[in-house]
This record gives sequence, C-alpha cells and structure tokens, in this order.
Amino acid sequence: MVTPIATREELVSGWGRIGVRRAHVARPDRAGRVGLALDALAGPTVPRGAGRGYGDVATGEHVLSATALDRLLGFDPETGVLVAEAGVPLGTLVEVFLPKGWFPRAMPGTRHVTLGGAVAADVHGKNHADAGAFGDSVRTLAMRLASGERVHVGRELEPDLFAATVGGLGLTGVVEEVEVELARVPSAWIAHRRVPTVDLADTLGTLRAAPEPYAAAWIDTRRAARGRGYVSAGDWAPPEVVRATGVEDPFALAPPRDRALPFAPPGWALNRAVLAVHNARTFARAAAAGLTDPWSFFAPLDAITDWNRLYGRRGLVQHQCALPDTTADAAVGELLSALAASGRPCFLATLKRLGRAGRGMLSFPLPGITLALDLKAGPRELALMEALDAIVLAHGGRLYLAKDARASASTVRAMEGERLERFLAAKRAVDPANRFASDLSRRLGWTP
Amino acid sequence: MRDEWDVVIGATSGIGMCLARDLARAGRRLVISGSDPAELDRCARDLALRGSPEVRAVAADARDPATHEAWARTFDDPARVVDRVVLLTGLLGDLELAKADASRAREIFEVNVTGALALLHPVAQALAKAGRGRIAIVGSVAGDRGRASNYPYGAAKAAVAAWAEGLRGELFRHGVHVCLVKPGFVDTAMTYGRPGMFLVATPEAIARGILRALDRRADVVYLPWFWGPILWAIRMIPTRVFKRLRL
Repeated sequence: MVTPIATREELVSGWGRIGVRRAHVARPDRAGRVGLALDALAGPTVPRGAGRGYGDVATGEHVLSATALDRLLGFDPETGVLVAEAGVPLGTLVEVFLPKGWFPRAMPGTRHVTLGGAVAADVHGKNHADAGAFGDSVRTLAMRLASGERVHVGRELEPDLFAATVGGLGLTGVVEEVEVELARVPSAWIAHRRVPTVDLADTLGTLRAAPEPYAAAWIDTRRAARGRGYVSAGDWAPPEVVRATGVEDPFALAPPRDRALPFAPPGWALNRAVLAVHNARTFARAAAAGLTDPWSFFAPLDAITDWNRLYGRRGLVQHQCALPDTTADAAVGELLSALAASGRPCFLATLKRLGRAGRGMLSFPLPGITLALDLKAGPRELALMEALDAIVLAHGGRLYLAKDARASASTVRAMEGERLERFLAAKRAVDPANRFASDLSRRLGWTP
Repeated sequence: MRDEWDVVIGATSGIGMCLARDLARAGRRLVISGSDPAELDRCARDLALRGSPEVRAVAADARDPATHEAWARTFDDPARVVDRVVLLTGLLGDLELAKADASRAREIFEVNVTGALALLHPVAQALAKAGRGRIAIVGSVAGDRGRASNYPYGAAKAAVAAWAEGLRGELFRHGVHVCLVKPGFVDTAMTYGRPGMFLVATPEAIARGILRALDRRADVVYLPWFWGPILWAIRMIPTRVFKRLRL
C-alpha cells in the first residue's frame, strides 16, 4: 500500500530574506517518491534545493524540496564523471571527491548549492572565462515532467529540453539526477595572489590580465574610492609546492568550519559607519600571496552560516548583471556612478570575468564581465536598482535571475529577447498547464 | 585479522542513512537492510562512494517473514565479524487510521516490534556466539508513557524497551552490549508535516548520538539528552492527572 507523501506549511523566502511567504512544502525522501510528492502538492509547484537563490526563484505556493534526494550513485575514476541525485550539495562533492583529486569545473561562491540548483541557475565561478558554467560540464539529467513521465535529457538526447532546463530555474520539471564531469586537480590547495588596485581602470585591467584561471575583484564602491579594490587570483597548487610547506598529503582536506551568528543582529548594525571601517581595513591590505584551502578561496562567505541575517529583518537584495566586453568598462563605470550618486551603502561589490555564453536558453553568462552589488532591501535601494537595470539594458547586458527579486517583467523581457521566447516555447511543450511555476515566473509574467 | 563489519537495519530511513554514512566515512564495512530494494541499492552505492570498502545490501521487510531467511543467512558465516548493530526499523503509523482499521494497528506492532526484533535476532545470535559486539535498539520517548495522542506507536515502543532490557541481560553473559536509544522528535520523512512537534532534532545529530552511546557502552540513552528530564517529569504525573491531559 502506497502511503501518500506528507506536506507541511512553512514560511519560505530566498537567501535575501525578503518576500517571505507561506508555502506548502513536500520533501520526498527518495527519488522514487517524487511523483507522489507532486501529487500531494496538487498545484503550481517549484522545485527547491538549498534556497540559496537570493530572490523568488525558488519560492511559490507549492514547493518540492529536493534536499532529501541526496544519494551519490556512481563515479568513474578514469573520466571523473559522477552521477548523483539532485539534492547533493556541491560541498559534499568537494568533501568526497577532492581528496581523490577531483573538483567541479564550475564552483559558485557557496558550497551549499545543490546539484539541481547548480543546473537550474547554471551557476558559474571565478573561472568562468576558462571553464564555463556548471551546465557546460553536465552530460545528462534525469527529470520528472509535469506529465509524470521520467525522461533523460542531455546535449544529444532531447537537446531542446536540456537547453531549457539548464538555467531554466526549475520551470521545466523536477531534476532527479545529474550526470556531471568533474575536473582533475593536482592538489587540494590553491596558490593565490592578492593585488591591490588604485581605481576602476586598474581593477578591470588587473582582473582581465590575471593569467590564473580563477580571478575575482572586490571594489570599494564609495565615490571617493574611484573603484579601487583588490583582485584575488589563483590556481591549484602543484603537489610539490604543497609538500614544500610541510604538508605530507597534498590531497588531505580538512572539513569546512562554519559558525552561525550567536543572535539575530538588528538591521541598523550594518550601516555606513561599519561599512567604512570594514572597507578601510579590507582595501588597505597590501599585496599577498600564498596557499589557501579551497573553502576559504571559493566560498569565503560560508564561514558565517547565516551571514544574510547581518542585513536585519528587512533583508538584502543583490543586483548582478552580465555586461558584454564591448561595453563593460563604460557600463561598470556608469553603474558605480549611479550607486555612488544614490548614497546607498553597498556592502559587497564583486567583479568576475565571463567567457562564452551558457548552454541553457536562459543561461546568464555572456563573454564579458559580471558585477554583483549587495544592498539592504530598502525602498531607496529598490529605486536605485531600477536605474541600474536601465543602464544594464542600455549597454546590452542582462540580469542574473537567480539573484533577482524585483526586476520588472518588461525589463527582463527586453534583456532576454528571443531567448525568452525560445524558453517559453520549450516549457510549453513539456508543461502546457504550468504545473511548474514560481513567484519569479509569475512576477516576470511567464506563468499565470 | 578478519574484517569487521557494522550492521544497519533500516538503513534507507532518515536516521539510518546518516548513521550509515558516518560509518562509511570512517571506512567501515557495512551490512545494510531496508524494505525497498531499489532504494536500498541506491543507498549501497552512496555508502560505497562515501568511503565504505564493502557494502552488503540485503532487502528485508519487517512485515514479510519470507524475506527474513535470506537476511538471517547473511550472518551464518562465522568469518564475518560484526562489531556494531543498529536497529532502526520503525513505523509511526496514524492513530485515527489504526483505530479505524485493525490491520493498521497490527502493522504498527509488526514493524516496530515483532518484525524488527525478528530481523535483529539472527544478528544478536551471531554476536553471542562470537562473544563480542554492541547493539543499539532505537526506541522512542513515546514508549515511556501511553499517551492519548499516539498510543499504538507508544505501546509498540514500550514493548521494544522491555525487550531490549531483557535482551541486555541475556547477552551480557556473552559479552555483547545492548543499548536502548530513545530519540524525541526527529526531522525525517516519518514525522514530516506532523503538528505539535517541538525541540525537533536533525537525523544527523541523532545518528551521532547513537554512535557515541555505543562507544560509551551506555545502557539507556535519551537523544538529545534533555528528553531524559522531560520524560522523567512526564512519568511523575499521577495517572488521575495524566488522564485529563491532552498529551
């Protein structure tokens, strides 16, 4: 006798902690029960992984939590090809396979993102220009469609549905399993360099010129700082370099050690004064080089488990855009000017290089630069972001929807253009009744 | 030196997988059982990838005695040295369904008591014969007192507690240790969506607690520890008062 899956009512939101809403959530404990979970939810559903999307990409009236679908299913030590359930966090991949010499080709800024989430957002890391986005390393997906059918999709197998699902924000069906190629790495340590820069041109120039595959820049966004900051660049350290420091096993990996905030800080704790002090310290540091562990290099913010609570009850919003190479310098300059003119404090501003376009119909990357700005979720910040959207649009760029919480339907339509039409057609083909929908798809007018 | 194995009965469950994974990461060989053969196979593959050098998966359903023989034969081989055994087989059931349908009430006892202990039996025998080993039987705080809100489950877990106590005495002479573990509310599929839960623990924390209890050779353990004083207080309530409460 088949017991129906239980659902529970929960408050859900994105990582930014805005737009908190009640949802009916089902959390099937095995892949074989995904169909039952969908039956139990009986309404427009969005699949959800670790909930690291900043906005409403993984919230909705009905949520299918994939976090309990976390089995590793197979690994080929010759090719580095891993098959695993969609709820496996990338951090687990690192903990299990880095000691064996393998690492995801695209590693985003937090290890908590699940495989399914990495596919849905087509996440990228500091090495996008070199290795592409997560979807570029995915061979096949096993997914459950609105019809109840379970299908395999890949680059050669149902390529349209595959391209709609990579970067498809969970709107084409529930990804149950992911087959992904890991990359061979020479050790579990990163040899990194930190180079201070004096202004925006220097920051962009140093970032672009860094020969290492992994590079990112942090900027001080205050007007007087003129876009100075620092560039952090790195690559996997050769084993003999690691051994030379006295470490016996170059692949030995200590587990990450995160700490949670001891209490919920009030919203005013993060303010201009604190920011000024933080920036003064951060950007005054001299150049440095050395070996660092992968957790600190790839996901420094993970060290504080719930760092989003630093933004207080109002929460945070992030504005992340991709700007084409041809217009990037001018665009970044204008965006930072608009930010400075608004007077709103920006608590984190990062730049990364982007290489080729992603594999998905709605993939975020395009050859150029990506700028991400973290702001408190206040009304003046939201007004500023409208202005930033206009600058991005004018320069032929687009927004990262996995971070977006507030862009208008018309803005996104204008930014995405033809890509969105192709995606919606592919979605209609497998989900004509919009069984899969999210607060994001409703906000952007893609589903009712 | 012969290879040592750990046995997880009910490995596909929430707590079971966390526990089996902890053991796999420590490089332990595992014998695992579960009632869903397809899912059991996926779990076995997962455990091998996470570090277990050898995983022996045997599908066995507490409700189906026909599956018990193959399970028992797994322990016929004296060369298989077993150290830890954890019995997690359980079924929460639904009070209203159990009241409406006698077969559901029977099922609660079959899975939690008769079937679970039938699965434990051949393993316990093998340990007694070998003169070594440690068993953790997972009961529940629900077994401490019969509460109106879920007495079929509570009664079943009370039976498990008494059985564990008897088994502990019997196996003590053979050098085998028996630990009764009583978790409170745990966040797994079995309790998902249930109203009225509080102080809910993660299955990871319970799994760690079970392994620590085995290492300490504790006899009876509440997980987390604070359920001990809470249940003591609940047990102290006189019956003429208890029957009036909506616990």
